[in-house]
Amino acid sequence: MSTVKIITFGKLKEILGSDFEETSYNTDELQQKLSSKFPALQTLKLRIAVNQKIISENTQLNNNDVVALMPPYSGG
Amino acid sequence: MLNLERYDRQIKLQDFGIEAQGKLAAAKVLVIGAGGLGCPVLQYLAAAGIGTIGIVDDDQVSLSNLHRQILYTSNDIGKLKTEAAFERLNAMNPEIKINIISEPVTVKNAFDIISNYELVIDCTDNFPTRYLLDDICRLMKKPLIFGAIYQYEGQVAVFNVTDKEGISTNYRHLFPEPPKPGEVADCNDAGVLGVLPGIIGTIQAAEAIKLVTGIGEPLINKIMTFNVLDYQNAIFDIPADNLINEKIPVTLDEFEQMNYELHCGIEPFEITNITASEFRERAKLPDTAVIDVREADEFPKLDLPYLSIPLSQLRASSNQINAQNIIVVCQSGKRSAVGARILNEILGPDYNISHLEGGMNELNKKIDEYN
Repeated sequence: MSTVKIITFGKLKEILGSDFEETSYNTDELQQKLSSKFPALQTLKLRIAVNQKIISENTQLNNNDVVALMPPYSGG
Repeated sequence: MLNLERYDRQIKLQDFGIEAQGKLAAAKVLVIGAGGLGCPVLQYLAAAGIGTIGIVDDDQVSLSNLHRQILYTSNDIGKLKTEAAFERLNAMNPEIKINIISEPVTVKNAFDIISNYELVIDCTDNFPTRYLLDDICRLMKKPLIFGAIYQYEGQVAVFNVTDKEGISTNYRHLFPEPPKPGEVADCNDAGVLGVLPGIIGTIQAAEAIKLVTGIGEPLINKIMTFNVLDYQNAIFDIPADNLINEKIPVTLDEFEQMNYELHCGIEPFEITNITASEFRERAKLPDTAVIDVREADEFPKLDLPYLSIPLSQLRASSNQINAQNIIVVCQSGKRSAVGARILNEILGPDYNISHLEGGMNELNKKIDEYN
């Protein structure tokens, strides 16, 4: 189990809060954990980045990794 | 002939010089959307001496634009944004060519409009147009500078430009499919700090100048996020995954067949508009419910019986509505239109669903006129 720092953007900041810590083995598990705590997350489109790289597959997490959760914006 | 005095201070720059200024003068850049992002983009591109600038927008200047759309003055209210922008930019720099296109960009005209330019800047304010632009620019291999804002935060990225490894990405690599209607609020509904599009648009203009002149490191295959409240910014690498998705057009013919409203989940449903002057009469009719889909802390409140269900909860709470005639209300008429669509989807055609056109803003204008 690794302790990671979560940073959030846009509406996700309103739902999850801004920056906080969470423990998890990998990004899939982390997403499940957050979705059960914050059901509103389940229906939202978002991308996950680990240490500033946007990931496309489940990714192993290490202590002190920074996990960013980013939704799309449309405003102009 | 280049006016060396006008551009003296940037020609003087190390690694810029007359050569880079010449590249700007030869460049043709298309700016789609002349709103919060478009205004600073246009202002800086015109000032910097981009030789040909195209402006696409079919909207008119309104009072609530002015806190952030800094090309326009109070005298421009009601004018086409393209025409007001042309006037202002032409006064700023009469030595460049400015083309205006005062119509919405569609699957029918996008190819022809974009063909005349080498670089496209996305300053639009809605997902259907953003996905449309992303698809056509990918298919035409046209560099696209993306910018988007939400309340106090912004995103900038450069798409369809290959990096040293020959890899290029686009918005579909970030968000292959659009969010559902109502999932992500825009400036009209969520609000925006006026300086934010100023900052994000200025970064888009900087990326355009960098791409045209070849200086620095543009945000190729990267997305930058910026928060104006704490100045936190971050740059994320975008993965160049294979985009395998039958909903994404892969040829120009497929692109022309796309319906981007539908693609973004906006169903073709004729919403009944209720004007501010007929609203009170209609609200009094039997078996009628007025639903305010604004958040609880939004004012002014309605002065007649209504049910408050914020848009984000409308799907889950539609069972609270027990009337055949439903009038959805919000601040500007935008969320109420989305709300009416959502209710139509859930409740079906047996209900008579309408919304207040122009929202509380229009309704209060009416009150002012009576007073």
